[in-house]
Amino acid sequence: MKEILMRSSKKEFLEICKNKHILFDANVFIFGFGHYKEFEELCNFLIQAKCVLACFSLVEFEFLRTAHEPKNKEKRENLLKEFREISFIVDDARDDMIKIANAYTARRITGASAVDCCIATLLKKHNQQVILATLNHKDFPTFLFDRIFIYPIDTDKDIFTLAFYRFNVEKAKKIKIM
Amino acid sequence: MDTLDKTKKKPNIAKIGKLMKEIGELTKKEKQKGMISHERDFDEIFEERILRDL
Repeated sequence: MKEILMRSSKKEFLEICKNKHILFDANVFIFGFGHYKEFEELCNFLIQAKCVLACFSLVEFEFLRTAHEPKNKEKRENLLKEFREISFIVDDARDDMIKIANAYTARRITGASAVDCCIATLLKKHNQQVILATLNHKDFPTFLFDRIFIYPIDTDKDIFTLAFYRFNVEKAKKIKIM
Repeated sequence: MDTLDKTKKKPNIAKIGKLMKEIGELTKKEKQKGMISHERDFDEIFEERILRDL
């Protein structure tokens, strides 16, 4: 089972993520408007696996802030309405956020933003139910997360590597943040 | 407190694809008009606020 959690085959991943919330990172949404067909395929892949497509307020903030004109912002808001929102209550998560930020800093992971630490905290809180989909791999290190599946996206000009991450409680205990 | 939405609402994938396409076109036009993203400014302000709250 440990091996499956570290890196799973497509069949194993589909079993793991069945009925789970897949939290889309902002970079996945940003990738999506440049590659809408590939984004649609990704959504279809996850829906067929009976996943719940999800986002949360800080990811929305990151996605909406790059729209300048009202029409663009409105379209983005309409898009996000198709995703299930995961609430995030900072008061509940404050201690976890500090512990995770400290663990990152101690391992010289300096590129992670405050929003990344919030996402990590959210994954810790819902470790049995929420899986992150992201294109940003450095900010979700394997000392704390399991990279459970890699989903390559081949476009005409480039190849993108999206991966799915789940918070690993045993790893968190090992580095004493739980 | 359980903060996960357990409702049975299913996303409309065709609508998602259509909106993404439109967002891509609008964003491209914004870039052509020279509208510059101030992401870094937002990041700094936002993180300052989070750190202050912590």
